[in-house]
Amino acid sequence: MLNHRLSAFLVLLACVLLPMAIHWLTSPGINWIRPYILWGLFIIATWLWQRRRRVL
Amino acid sequence: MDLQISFVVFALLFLGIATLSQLRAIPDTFWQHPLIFALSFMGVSGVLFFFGAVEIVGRYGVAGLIGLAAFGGIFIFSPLFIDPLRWISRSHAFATLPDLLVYRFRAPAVAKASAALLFTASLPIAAAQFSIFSSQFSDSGNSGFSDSIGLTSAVATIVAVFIYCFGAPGKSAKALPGVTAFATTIALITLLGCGYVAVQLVFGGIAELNSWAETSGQDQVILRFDSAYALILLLLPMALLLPQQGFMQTLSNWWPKHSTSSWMVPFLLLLITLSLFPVLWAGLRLPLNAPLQQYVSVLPATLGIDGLYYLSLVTMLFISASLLTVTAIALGKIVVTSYLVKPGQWRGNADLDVWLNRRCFWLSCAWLVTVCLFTTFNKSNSVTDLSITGMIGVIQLLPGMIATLYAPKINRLGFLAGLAVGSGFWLYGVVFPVCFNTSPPLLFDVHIATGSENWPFWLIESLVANLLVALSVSMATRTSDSERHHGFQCMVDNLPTPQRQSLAITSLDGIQSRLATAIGAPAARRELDAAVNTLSISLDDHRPLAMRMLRDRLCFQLSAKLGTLTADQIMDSVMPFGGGAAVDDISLLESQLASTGSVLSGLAAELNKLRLYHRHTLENLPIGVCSLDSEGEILLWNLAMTKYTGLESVNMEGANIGDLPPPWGNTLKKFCASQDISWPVHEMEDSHRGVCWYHLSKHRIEENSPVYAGYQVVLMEDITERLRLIQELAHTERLTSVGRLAAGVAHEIGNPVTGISCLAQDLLAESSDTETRKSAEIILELTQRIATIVNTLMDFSRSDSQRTLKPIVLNTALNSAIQLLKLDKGAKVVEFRVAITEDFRVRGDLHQLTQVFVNLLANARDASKEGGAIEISGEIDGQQAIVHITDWGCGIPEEFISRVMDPFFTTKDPGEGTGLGLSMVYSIMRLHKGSVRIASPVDNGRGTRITLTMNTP
Repeated sequence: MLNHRLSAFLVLLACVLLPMAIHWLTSPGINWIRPYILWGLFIIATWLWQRRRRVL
Repeated sequence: MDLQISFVVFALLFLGIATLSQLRAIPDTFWQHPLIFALSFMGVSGVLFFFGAVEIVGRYGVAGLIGLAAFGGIFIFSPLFIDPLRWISRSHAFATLPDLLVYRFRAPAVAKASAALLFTASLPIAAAQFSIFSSQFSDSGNSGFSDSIGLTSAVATIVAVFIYCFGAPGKSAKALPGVTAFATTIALITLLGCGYVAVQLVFGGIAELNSWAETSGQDQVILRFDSAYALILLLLPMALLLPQQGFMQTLSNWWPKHSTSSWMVPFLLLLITLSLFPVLWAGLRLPLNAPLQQYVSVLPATLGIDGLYYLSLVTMLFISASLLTVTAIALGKIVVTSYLVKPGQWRGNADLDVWLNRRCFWLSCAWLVTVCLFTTFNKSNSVTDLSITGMIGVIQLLPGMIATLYAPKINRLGFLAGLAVGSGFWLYGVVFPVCFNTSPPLLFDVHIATGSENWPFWLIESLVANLLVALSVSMATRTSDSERHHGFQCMVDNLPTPQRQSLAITSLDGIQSRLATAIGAPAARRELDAAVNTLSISLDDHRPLAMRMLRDRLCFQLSAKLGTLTADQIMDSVMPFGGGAAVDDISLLESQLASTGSVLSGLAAELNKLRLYHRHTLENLPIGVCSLDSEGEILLWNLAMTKYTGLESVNMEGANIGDLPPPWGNTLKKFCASQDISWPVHEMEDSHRGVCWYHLSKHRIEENSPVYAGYQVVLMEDITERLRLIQELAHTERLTSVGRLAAGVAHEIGNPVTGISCLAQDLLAESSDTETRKSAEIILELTQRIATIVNTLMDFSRSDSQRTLKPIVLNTALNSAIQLLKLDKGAKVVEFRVAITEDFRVRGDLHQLTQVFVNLLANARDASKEGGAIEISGEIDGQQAIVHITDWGCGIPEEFISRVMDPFFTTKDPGEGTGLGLSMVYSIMRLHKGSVRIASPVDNGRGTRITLTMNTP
């Protein structure tokens, strides 16, 4: 049940993706829409990851 | 009057939609759709996530948006949060969070403390639902309500009416999703509408909005991340800990079935928050003279868009009432299960469900009254402050949740101590300063900043203190065996082996009567019927496994209503265990793995594959395999056993070996109890296969073995065919030896008889005496008869034939035989019914086969009645030609069947038969590499059927 790929992803998220995301969010340009883009990507990734997941 | 009109519209819609949701025309699939779940789930999250969200992003910038997104995080990371809970919920139905904690920590005090905390922490959250209307009350002549008390009381009354009409489980399963999904839908329309109005009417387009944000510096103002981690920590677990969110997840079991829910809730959150920045900046640009949390309603009012303004007011009321309704019902249930229910309260005809519904209703009303009182004394008008205050209280249960899923060594004392300390921090640093605007007394003369601005500090401090105290106390105190056991049962990735003890009660009637003493007769009947239907077991099923499954199912159903501890206590009294040590329940483990094995991953999945392979091998072994535990309960009953006995494995597994129908039960029980390791040949007769012989053997695991001591594996092999072949071989050997003996005797007799015959012929030729000649003729006749017998014996003993076998038409031999038989005018008249076609050809010798048919048909005629019929039929089976000769005479006694082929064996009177006819048939058929089989009686105790098997050309 404890998906090791998920654990690895969380480590990657904390160490690599989050700093990259914060750097991108704070770079010059139209800032307010960027969190929504990241959020949307997260949702798409979740959909891709869990669409065939077997549940009880 | 605006709010008054909106309230009337809201009240009509709120109760109207609940009524419409009861329509049977709406299919169940509609309510089970994941979109309905996602809309309902968001519908009970309160005004914070719809209107207060503007205040959150106004205060915390992008960090606020991240916090709002974190609220849907448990769905994105469902393998970490939801799947473990679903795994635990296999055995017990956890209706509430305190119930889950009490299952883990095994103490009513845990439920009472958790319920008290949830009851208290929900008050600020409920008060936040009314603070959104604070600007309306400043202009009381316009709103129609003089103050928040009036509105609170009015909404609470509508909520109470709703709970009274639709609060029962049967109705709320549709009414609650109906109104809450509707609330989210109109909230989405309102927010997106406000966003559109802000962009198009206030700024004139998206490009102008971006340009304004850049020139005003707002695009940099929102780039704040200082509170992001605190907001994530606070909002991430709320989807599980808040009573209203938890209740919506357990109200129906939609979400376990749909992985689509995992992205749908975050997606809805994304849509809800999409217009936050445009609305915020539009309010700042105009500017709007109102708190940030009211921008969504004030903006359309300022721009003169009345439709959107009234829609926003109705939406606020809907969202507020949805949260209040579900929270009231959830807390009513929590308090009932934590404080009120006790086993044995519902005797006689008292109805458990009615009792529960009444108390839940009155407790829900009590909470609503408390909300009204709290709103009276509450000093804060900020949705964000009040909601965060309540959530910091609720999050004190997070260590308990972590202990449940990931930390089995935290015990109940540790949990309670941590909860007390964390709650103390919460009350001291957040509740009193925010809700009652009071400065708490200094502790140890140290000034610590309190109040709404410092909530991140108090959140972290209270949680850290809670966890540290919980760990310290747990390490310093003893953990009970029960706690330890359930701690490991709840662990993520743990696959607990169910334990089994024998049950003292084994009949459904007994269970129902005893259950009636615990929960009342109507509920007992209802629960038992539901359990039996769910498990699909028959009313006369007394298998120990069926009883244990029934016990578990009843416990599951009752735990959903009464809580796990009470359900366990009731089942312990209704279906007590018979004593003895608990052992692994292999049958239940197998059934659990069969139903849940598909979701296993990693090593567990590989091991499950190995289990399935071995199971499949055992199931399909060509010999019967039956494994038993130390008490004789059947754990495995493979396909061969089903073939031998006609008893299906689904009915046998879990049954006691002695309870099997005769003759299997007694025989197998006797064999298992004996010291013999095998019964080489055991005759069994049953209605399924008749008389058969079996070879039984067994292996018993040593009593001192550490694993499964006393278990047995019984092997049962059908040796009927093998025994038949052995008997046939023995018979053949016997006939062969008799044939050799007969050949020797014939040879020895032949010479003297020839001499006697010659002398008799001489005497006949030379004597003129009449008497002497007559005697010589008799001697010649008798010697001729002896010669015939000797020749027959010689033919019988011949091991091979000099004759050439060639293709012949069988009818030729058959017709010749029938013609020869008809020459005997003194014999009975019978009808020969030949059903063999002219193209029926065999490989054989025409004369010998004619002899065969003469002998067989003569015997059949002798056995038949006058005027009877003899049927001759044939069939081709591959390379074999099979001929059946059937008469309907008296048949052959069973004791003679095995001897009729023996030479000189006859049942006819002396002088009427030599006893060599069938021996001759057997001999000839052996020369033809065929066989003879005799079956008698054929039908109704009469008739004989002889089956000849020969080779086709």
